Amino acid sequence: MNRLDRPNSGWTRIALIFAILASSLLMSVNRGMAGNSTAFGTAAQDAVTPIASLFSRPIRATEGLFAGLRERSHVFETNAELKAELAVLRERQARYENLAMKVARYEAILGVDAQTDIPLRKIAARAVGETDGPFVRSLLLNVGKADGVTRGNPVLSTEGLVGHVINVGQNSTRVLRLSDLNSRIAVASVRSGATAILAGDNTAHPKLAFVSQRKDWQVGDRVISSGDDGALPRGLHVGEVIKGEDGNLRVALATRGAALDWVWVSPFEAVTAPSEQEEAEEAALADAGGAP
Amino acid sequence: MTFHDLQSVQRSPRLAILAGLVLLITGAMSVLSLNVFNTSAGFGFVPLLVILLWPRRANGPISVAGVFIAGLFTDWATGGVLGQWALIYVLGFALLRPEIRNMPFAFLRALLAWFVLAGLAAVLLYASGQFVFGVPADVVAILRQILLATAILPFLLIIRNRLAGATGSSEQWGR
Repeated sequence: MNRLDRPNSGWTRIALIFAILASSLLMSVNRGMAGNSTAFGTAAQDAVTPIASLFSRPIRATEGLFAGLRERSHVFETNAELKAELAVLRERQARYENLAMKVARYEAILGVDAQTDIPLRKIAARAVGETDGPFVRSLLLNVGKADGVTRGNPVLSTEGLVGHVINVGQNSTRVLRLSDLNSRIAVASVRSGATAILAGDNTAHPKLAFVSQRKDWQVGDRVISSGDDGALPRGLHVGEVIKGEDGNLRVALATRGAALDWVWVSPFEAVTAPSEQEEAEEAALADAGGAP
Repeated sequence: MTFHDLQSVQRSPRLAILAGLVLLITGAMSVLSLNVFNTSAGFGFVPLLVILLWPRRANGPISVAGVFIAGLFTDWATGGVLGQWALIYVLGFALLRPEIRNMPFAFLRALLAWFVLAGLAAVLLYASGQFVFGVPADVVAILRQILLATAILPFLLIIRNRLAGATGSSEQWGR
C-alpha cells in the first residue's frame, strides 16, 4: 500500500500543519485589507458570479413565496394605508408642480444652473450575491467593466442608496454596503443642511460621526448624501435619523431589511483634486511626447 | 465486521478532488443570503457541511489541499481577509479528521458532530475577526448562518445517502 493511502498517514498531518500555518500567515499579512482588490480576488469574483446567479434563482423564489404569504395576510390593511397615502400625495403633487414652475421661473430670471449632479444614465444590475456575514456586508452584481461600471460608482435601489462599488471585474462588481465596517460617506440633513460622516459598523443602523452641532440633527431628519467628499453625488436618499441604544445618533437605512434583487449603478465620476488632475495631464503630455 | 473492514483501506484521490470541487461550489454559495421576514441569513456555514460529510475514503493530503484552496477561494469570493475562511476550513477538517473516522454517520451522530464543528467555527470566526478587523463579530449573524446550515443538513444527508445507494459505493459514501 502506498504511504499516502494509509488511513492515518503522516503526510495528512504534515499537510494539515502546513495549511494551518499558511492560513494563519496569510491572515496576519492581509490583516486590515478586507475588500482590497487583487487580481485573484477579481478573478474569483468573476468566477463566482455565474454560480451565484444560478443558485440565487431558487433562493429568490423562496423569498418571494414567503413575501407573498406575508403580503397576502396584510392585503386589506395595506390597501387602506395606500389609499390614505395616495390622497396626501395627490395634494403634494399639485404643490410640487406649482413649486417646480416657480423654481424654473426663478432660475430663468437669475440665470443659474441648478441641475443636480446625479447622472441621468443608470446601469441596471441584478444582485446575484448578498454577503451578510458577521464582518463583511457586500453585494455582488452581474455587471462589470464591460457595462461601463467603474470603482466608486454609487449603487441604488428603489428605496435609496445601497453603497458604492469597491471592485470591478469584467462582468462582475462588488459593492460595499453602507452598513459595512469599512463604509464612510459624507451625508447631510435635509432639514438643517448640517453635514456629518455616516460610518458603518456592521450593525443595522450606521452611526453619524463628526457631528459638529448636535442640535442640527434631530430624530426623524431625512438624510441624503452631501456630495462633500466628491465621491458621491449630492441628494441620494440614505435614510432617517434615529437614536441608537447607545444614545448616539444613528441612521435607519432606507434599504434596510429589504431583499435586494434589482439595483442600478449610477456612472457618477468622482471629483478629483486639482493637483491630481494636473499630475494626470502632465503625465499624459509626457506620454504623448509634448512635455517640455 | 464486514469483508471490507478487513481489507487494506484504499484512499482515493478522485474522491478527494470531487469533494474539493463540491466545497469550492459551496464556497461560492457563501456570497448568497436568504431574506425572509425582514431577516437575512448568509450561507457562509454551508461549506462546513461539506467538510462534515467529507468522504472517509478520500486521499488525506489531497483533501487537505482541496480544503485549503477552497478556503482561499471563499475568502476571495466573499471579499473578506485572505486566510480567514481557509484557516476555519482547515481547522474544521483537522477536528473531524474524516480519514480516521470508522463509524457510519447516523443522523444524530452527524448532528452532534455538526454542532461541535459549527461551535468551533463560530469561536474561530469571532476570534479571527477580532484579530483582523479589531471589532467584535455580529454574533446574531453567525447564529443565523448556523441555523440556516443546520436546516440544510438533513437534506444533504438524504442526498448523500441516496448517492451512495445509487452508485453502490456505500463504503465510500455511506459512512
